[in-house]
Amino acid sequence: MAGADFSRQELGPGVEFFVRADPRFKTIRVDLFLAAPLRPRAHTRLALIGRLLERGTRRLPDLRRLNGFLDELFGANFAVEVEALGHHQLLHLGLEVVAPPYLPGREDLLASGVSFLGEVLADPAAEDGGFRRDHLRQEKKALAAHIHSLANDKSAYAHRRCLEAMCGADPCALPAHGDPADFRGIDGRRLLADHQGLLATAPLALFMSGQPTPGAEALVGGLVRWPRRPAQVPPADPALPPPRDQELFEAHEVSQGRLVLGYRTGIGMGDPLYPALLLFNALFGGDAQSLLFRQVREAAGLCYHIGTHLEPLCGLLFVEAGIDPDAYGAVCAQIEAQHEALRQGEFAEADLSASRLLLQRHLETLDDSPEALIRFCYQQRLAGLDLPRSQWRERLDEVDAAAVAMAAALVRRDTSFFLYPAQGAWRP
Amino acid sequence: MEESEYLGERVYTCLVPPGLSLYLLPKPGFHTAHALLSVGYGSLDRSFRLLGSSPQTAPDGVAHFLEHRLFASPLGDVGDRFAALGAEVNAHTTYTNTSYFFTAATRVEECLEFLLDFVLNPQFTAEGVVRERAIITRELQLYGDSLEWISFIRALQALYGDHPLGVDIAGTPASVAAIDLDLLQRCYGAFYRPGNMRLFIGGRFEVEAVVERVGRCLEGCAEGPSPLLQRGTDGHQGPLRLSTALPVALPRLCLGFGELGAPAQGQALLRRELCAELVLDLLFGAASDFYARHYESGLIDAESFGCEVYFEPEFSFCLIGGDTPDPAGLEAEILGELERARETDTLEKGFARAARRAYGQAVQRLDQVEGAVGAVFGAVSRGAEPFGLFEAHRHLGPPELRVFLAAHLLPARRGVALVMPGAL
Repeated sequence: MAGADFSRQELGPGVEFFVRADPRFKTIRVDLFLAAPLRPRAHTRLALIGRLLERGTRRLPDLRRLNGFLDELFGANFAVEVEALGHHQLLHLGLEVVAPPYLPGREDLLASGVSFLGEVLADPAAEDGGFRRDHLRQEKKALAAHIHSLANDKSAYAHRRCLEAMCGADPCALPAHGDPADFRGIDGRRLLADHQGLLATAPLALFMSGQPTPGAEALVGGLVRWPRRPAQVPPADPALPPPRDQELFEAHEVSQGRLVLGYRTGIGMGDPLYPALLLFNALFGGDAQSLLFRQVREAAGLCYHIGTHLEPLCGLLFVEAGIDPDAYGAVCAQIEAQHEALRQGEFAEADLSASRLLLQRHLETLDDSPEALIRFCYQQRLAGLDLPRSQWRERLDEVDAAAVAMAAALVRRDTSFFLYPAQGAWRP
Repeated sequence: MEESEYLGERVYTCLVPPGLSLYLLPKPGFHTAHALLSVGYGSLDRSFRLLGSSPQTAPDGVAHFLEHRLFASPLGDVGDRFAALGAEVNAHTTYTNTSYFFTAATRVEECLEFLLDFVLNPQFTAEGVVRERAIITRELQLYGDSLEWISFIRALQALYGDHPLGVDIAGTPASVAAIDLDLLQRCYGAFYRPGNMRLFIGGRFEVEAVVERVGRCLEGCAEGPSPLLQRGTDGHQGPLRLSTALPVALPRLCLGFGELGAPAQGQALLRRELCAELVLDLLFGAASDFYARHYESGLIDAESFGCEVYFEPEFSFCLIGGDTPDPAGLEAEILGELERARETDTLEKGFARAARRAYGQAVQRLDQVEGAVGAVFGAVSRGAEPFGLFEAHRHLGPPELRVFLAAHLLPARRGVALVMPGAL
């Protein structure tokens, strides 16, 4: 089990139930994750399924009634999200309701909420053995428009282009939102059949956390009532092709350039060097005290924003910065210089301690956010790990400067992607 | 020390000499503390007068500039000092306040001491000011690519013209270039005084120890005369229609309805804000007929369509809008819906549902340390009691919503910002 953070039970084939009663909270959260392998075309179908599940159930067949029902549950937070994590595509349903002691008349909303979640999953709005045609038509249009509008966020767009250039045909480059080019031939029947297959076979993790109320565990545990046949999702695999060191440029209508550098780490969450990689990331660009922030933004004044983040299940690391095109060469050189300093172990012990403290604090503070703790626990499960937070804290304590330098040496640049202003004079 | 209580949450309030208001929200069992030091100085305050001196007008963006500069403390980088304690620090500037905040899991009292120290004892240098101008100019550029920010700023410009509400909180490249050392020092001296500050702390800490530590930090701190503000009087024009081109996929429409002056204070203001939220939820929220109809027709989308409300003692505005293939059609539909609501019983029929939703979401917010601090800040910074947001729900009914709708969200008073796909 994932340490003392959650108690865990097996409810059936491939169904795990994680419970954490916590009287500090005024709400009760229920989260359900179904994990499918990320695959071309199937990823588009799951993206559409996620949207269709939010459109209605047999009992609440349209937006007005479905959202009105949630309002009556004192504004219960409900969301269906389709997310990509490593080589997995996840269907995630979350529901949060206020617990009885904090409502007028001590109204109990959990039973209604849980039965609603069951309806969304097992009894969605359907016709002729498929999802409703009008809903599907609208959702294809809405999803295509949404994907089109993602390019509005220039930083996210640059990140996606870098990831695609890095990973090529590897599924971890597939976006959770799918591809409108796959829409042709997708009908409501096919989608409902896919959905039912997912319900029956995908590994399922059910979480309940928050204010303890009598009978809640049995109620939530009873949510999965449909027949199950377990199928194994292949574990995440960070082994990608060797790095290429490619430099790519794209002109775009932006007033500020967006630089994204993609690195391969070759270090998965289960690797003994993973805690050192976490510290490398923190020291390199993980926060406002990192080398990149201090040297590139504060000392050299070369950008407003710069930072790094890890994609732990794929073993990737990214540096992202908003820069003036004229500073391109200087920023790239500075980033390489800071990476080299970490490779050579040239950083202050005090910085290592501060970064370690920050990461350990993050672990501790997960306690104050049920949703964050659930995500932490579930991400580990996907990576095939089961470590309590206390062990992560100890592992971070054991990391010394030499281990950080070792992780830094394994982090190798693959792709540099620069989105530069088309209207300016600068050219690559 | 005064004590307020709601749903098991407690807030202790006291005044620390020479005049800082301190609000303590202990949350037993939590692991983090979140502290927020708010200075009553925002982008609205470009004109002010000190007792015995003549009125002064500063360029736009000084409050935000000061926020940036305070992070370069004479004792070293502020972020580093907090990081060494395992804490994270940040700040932001709004129209009415500049807030400095940190989240810490341990050594909270030391963090508080640092917080007060770097805000109360800055050191400005001419070189630092030059460097900061470059950083802020880049920040303005970065936001210039953001559809959300441009749409928001243009809507405010459409409503308020060259009033400070119509100008970017960070200023403009020209106004930032006009900010110098002397100006920063003068504005700092006018606004950064304990009597113009509120300190909030929530989560894990010892009440007595924090009160004592804050008191010690402020020993010897002088309280000068407060600046006399002239918020909301200069240069208002509008409402207007503004159109901007950005390389975006779909047009974005933002309809604004705003007012200047003093609509209300304290509890009455929070009540009016809640009325606005409920009216907009009933007419345009996810459970409304409008939303279902136009989501299905493709006129709006789930990701970008929504409403926002801002209520301060000096001004208030409501924004409605999102991405749409047909901005003129969406504008006409929104105005039509507002018209219909004045003639039908939409508010009466849906009131209980919308009120339940708003109340439940307010309770959910108390579960996060930052959310609880934000709720108390939102109430007291506008002159209400700490749990005023909950008090506002009492005895509220459809008649209050009717009164609100009769006087607000008037089509003739709208400002319209349109962002159209096109080159920069």
